[in-house]
Amino acid sequence: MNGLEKKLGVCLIGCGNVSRSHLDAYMGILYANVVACCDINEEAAKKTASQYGIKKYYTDHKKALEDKDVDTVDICVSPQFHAEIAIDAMEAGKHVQCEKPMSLSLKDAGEMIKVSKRNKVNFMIGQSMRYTPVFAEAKKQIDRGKIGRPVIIRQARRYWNIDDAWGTPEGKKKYSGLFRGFYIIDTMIHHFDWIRWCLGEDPRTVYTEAETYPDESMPIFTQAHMTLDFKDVVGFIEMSRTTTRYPTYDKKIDVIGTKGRLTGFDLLNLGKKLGAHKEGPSPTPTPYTPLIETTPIPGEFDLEIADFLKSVIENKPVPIPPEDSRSALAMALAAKKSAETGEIVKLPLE
Amino acid sequence: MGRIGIGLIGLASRSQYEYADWFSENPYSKVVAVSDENKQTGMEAAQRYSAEWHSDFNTLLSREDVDAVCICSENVYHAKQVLTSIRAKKHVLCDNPLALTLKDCDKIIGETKNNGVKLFVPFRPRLNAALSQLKSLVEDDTIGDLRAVYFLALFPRSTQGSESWLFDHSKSGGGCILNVGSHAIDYALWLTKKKPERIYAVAKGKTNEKTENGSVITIRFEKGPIVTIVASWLGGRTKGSVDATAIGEMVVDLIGYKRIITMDAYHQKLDVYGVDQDKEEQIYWGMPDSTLAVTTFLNSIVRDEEIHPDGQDAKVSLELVLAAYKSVEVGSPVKM
Repeated sequence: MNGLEKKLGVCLIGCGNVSRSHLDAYMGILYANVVACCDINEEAAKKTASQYGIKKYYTDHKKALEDKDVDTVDICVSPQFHAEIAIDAMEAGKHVQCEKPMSLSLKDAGEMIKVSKRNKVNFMIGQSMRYTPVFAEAKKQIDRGKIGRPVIIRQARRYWNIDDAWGTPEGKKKYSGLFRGFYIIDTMIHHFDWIRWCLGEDPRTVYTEAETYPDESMPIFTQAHMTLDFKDVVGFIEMSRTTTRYPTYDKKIDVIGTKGRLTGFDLLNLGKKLGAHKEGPSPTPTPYTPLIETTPIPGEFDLEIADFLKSVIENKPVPIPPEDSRSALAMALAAKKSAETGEIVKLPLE
Repeated sequence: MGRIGIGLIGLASRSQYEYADWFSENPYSKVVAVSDENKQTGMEAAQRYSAEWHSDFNTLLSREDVDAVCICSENVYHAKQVLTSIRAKKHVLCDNPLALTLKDCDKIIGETKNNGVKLFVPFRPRLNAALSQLKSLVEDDTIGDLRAVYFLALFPRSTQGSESWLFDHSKSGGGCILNVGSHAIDYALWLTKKKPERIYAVAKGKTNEKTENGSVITIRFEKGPIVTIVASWLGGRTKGSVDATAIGEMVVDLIGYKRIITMDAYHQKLDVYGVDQDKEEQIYWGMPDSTLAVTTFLNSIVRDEEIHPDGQDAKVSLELVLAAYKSVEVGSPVKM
């Protein structure tokens, strides 16, 4: 028996937006079954269970963790609850895959790692951009020395303005609890993790110039330019949620090396479609029109979740060590601090 | 009025040949003299433009048929050559940088006024046919309030060959921040018309060369956008090594509340590669920036009109360049 014949029982906790991408991914994985889902909102849990044919649903994660059919837990709740639920799950002997960002504090992140070691469970944070095909391929090409030694690495993420989400009173109410640097941590964590993974080192300093949303009732950074000073490389990361009704969701990668150049882009979901653009990647405000509706390459969540489950079945270390995710979180926290203070922030954080 | 007589001072930068080609093609001008200390390159250029060669630029300046000069020597000689030319009542086109200190800039600005000549420092982006048009999109509110700018400027240069002096700090006075970033800085100032508040820069690539060959510069403008510039001498496209003859790249993203606009200034190119070629060749077929520079310069002389970018523009750009170097040195943002 190679292990892959055993089906793992998965419990998904948190039935919000991102859970759908995860559940879609499980549908395509033969060696796992989603046996339960959980959400404090009973309606959401019930709806998800019926949509995906999941037999059991819970409203209390502690109850879900008592379920003997559950081998691994997939955490898709808001970041401020990651630590608590992950720690409870690992103390109950479950393997844990948890959405990024690991947590909102380094102390929590350290505690999560400690608990995972003590309970000898597989614990991984979903740094899914490592599996985004264009970013995965870019790292491969850099590792092969195709462009010599990188000197400048630029990443950009541009997507819809929050006007679209916050332009209504309901939207404002829903998001009003977010702190100023929320997106620098929650979303840009992908880019911090990727560049750190790519270079195998931490930057020495981080500096951010950031802009807040123009509506004073929503003081949140929507444009951030972050410069990372590595030993021999400058990293530049741009976050842009400034433009109203921006029609796509771009992730750009551009590496200038001593012996060449590498550029690429990805459009969330849309990018998987062959010939996705009629207009080219230039973000003119025209509606997106796919040319071909099929998805010829697997998405990042499919690859990431399969990789994690495989490590559980084969009893091997997780493909993305949680220590990496903690370091990426430190970079993001540094970038947030710099945006707030207008000053350079040194790493490692005190 | 006969043809405007042009004297070429210095053949250190490849731009000199671009300018000189247009000066000889333009019906209003003619290259009459060339000065360069190197006899062979000097003679070759003189022959190419049917002009005379002088080893000393002072001899060139003493010629009555020289009305204007085009200075493309090693950067450290610019200030002195510009000043001498202005005092000899010649109009001056000086390749960036105009000078390496603000004091020299002030001296040049003063002397230009006193002698009633034109001084032109052709920063490329604002003279680029495509990029110059972006300004109207900002001014007519097409993109809405401009919140951020990303400027990628890659001007491939090699440590080998005729422009290798660029990597020698004692001749160039600086690396790609001074020689590439300054162009984008001028563009940002021209485009936004705002006051820079603070600047932060990181530079890399000094390990093998004396000057930096890659840098990221971020400028925060007062009540204006955040501008990030990636400036580098790397990036030429070719198999296996950096090709210093490649045309390079200038790409500008303008991010506003209403729209994002991306302009690839050198998109008008032909990519050529074949079975017997080990590298891809890029041939630019669009309107070269140097054409517009030459026409602008000649027009201002013929019509006696004000010209930009001038000494003052060059000084403001240099101020930011020097602040960027300070930022690299101290490792933190510098207030303007």
